[in-house]
Amino acid sequence: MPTVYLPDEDHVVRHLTPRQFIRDDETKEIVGCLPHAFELREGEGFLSANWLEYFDGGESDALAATAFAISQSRAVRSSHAFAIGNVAAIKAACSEFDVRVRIVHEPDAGNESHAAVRRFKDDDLELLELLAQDAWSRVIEAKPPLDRVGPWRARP
Amino acid sequence: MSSLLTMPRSRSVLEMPAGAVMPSLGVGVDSKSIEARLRSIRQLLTEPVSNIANVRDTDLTGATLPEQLRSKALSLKRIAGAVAMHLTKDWRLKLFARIDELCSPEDWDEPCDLPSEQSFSTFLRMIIYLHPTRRPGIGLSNRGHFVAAWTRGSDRIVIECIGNDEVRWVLSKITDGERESGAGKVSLHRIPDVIAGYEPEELFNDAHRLLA
Repeated sequence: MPTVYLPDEDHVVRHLTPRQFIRDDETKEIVGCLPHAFELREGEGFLSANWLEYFDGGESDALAATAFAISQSRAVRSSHAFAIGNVAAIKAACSEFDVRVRIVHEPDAGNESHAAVRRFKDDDLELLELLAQDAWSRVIEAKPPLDRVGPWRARP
Repeated sequence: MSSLLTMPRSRSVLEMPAGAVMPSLGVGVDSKSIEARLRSIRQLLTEPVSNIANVRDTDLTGATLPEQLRSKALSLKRIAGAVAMHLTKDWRLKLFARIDELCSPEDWDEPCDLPSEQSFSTFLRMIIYLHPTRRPGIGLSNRGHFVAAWTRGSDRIVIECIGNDEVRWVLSKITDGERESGAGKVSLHRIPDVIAGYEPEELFNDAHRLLA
């Protein structure tokens, strides 16, 4: 299967659990995500995300479909969030730190829109913070997309 | 004055009792900030704040994940309870609520390490040492380290508490429309020195109180 590079104008979505993002103490609204949201897990060779424009329709339709796609491999709950980043901006941020990433479509078991940020390195906290504060900084509640599709399977 | 010059290196000054009167070194801003720093360092060296530096991560091998997380939450609250006299009731309750969220089995990412008590003790000691009035956002790294973030607009400092009083920090700030940032790994008592050039006071302070 040929490698499919995501177009620069498209977006990738990263699923976040509550430990990876911050809410305002009083309003409970999401303030942003932590740089640690872009850490690789032990043994992970790439940063896992989902291709938003893989699905047709407007952003809210695509997000609902993305939530469903992610839920095929991990539990997505209404207390969770999604970070949305533009492909070109992520590549530019990484290249500022001499990290030349390739963002490719790599369908995973059941998760048809899965994308991988390959050649990514997470050892520079400044790069992770640049992603969190700038290139990949739009963080939205998972609840609205979930509400459009649920109920969801529990993690086995 | 000459007695000051012959005084043994700073450690003996730091170990003076909290109420001890220091010889006057001047009344400028610098001397006040030095005094405040010495007061903070002394607090770290005084019980019970010094005791929590020795906590170790509990080994919960064999327990189920929900049991492990419940046990971690209890253990973290116990550590915070040991220094409760330093924390305002309001912030302590918020901190406990956040611990419960972070240790929720429903939201847990299984490949990640459990929250570390040693990291949490460094977090609490850092709060007592830095004496911020703005409440930090609190998260966890994949390795179970506590992460504190102070945000103001698009400026932010994030400090990952590694444990044993070691931290990893990153600060980003917009100055004249340009983002500047810095990062490093230091012992917690060095944080004010290494970030001073970014004028971080506004990040750490607002009308809230964390410490009693």
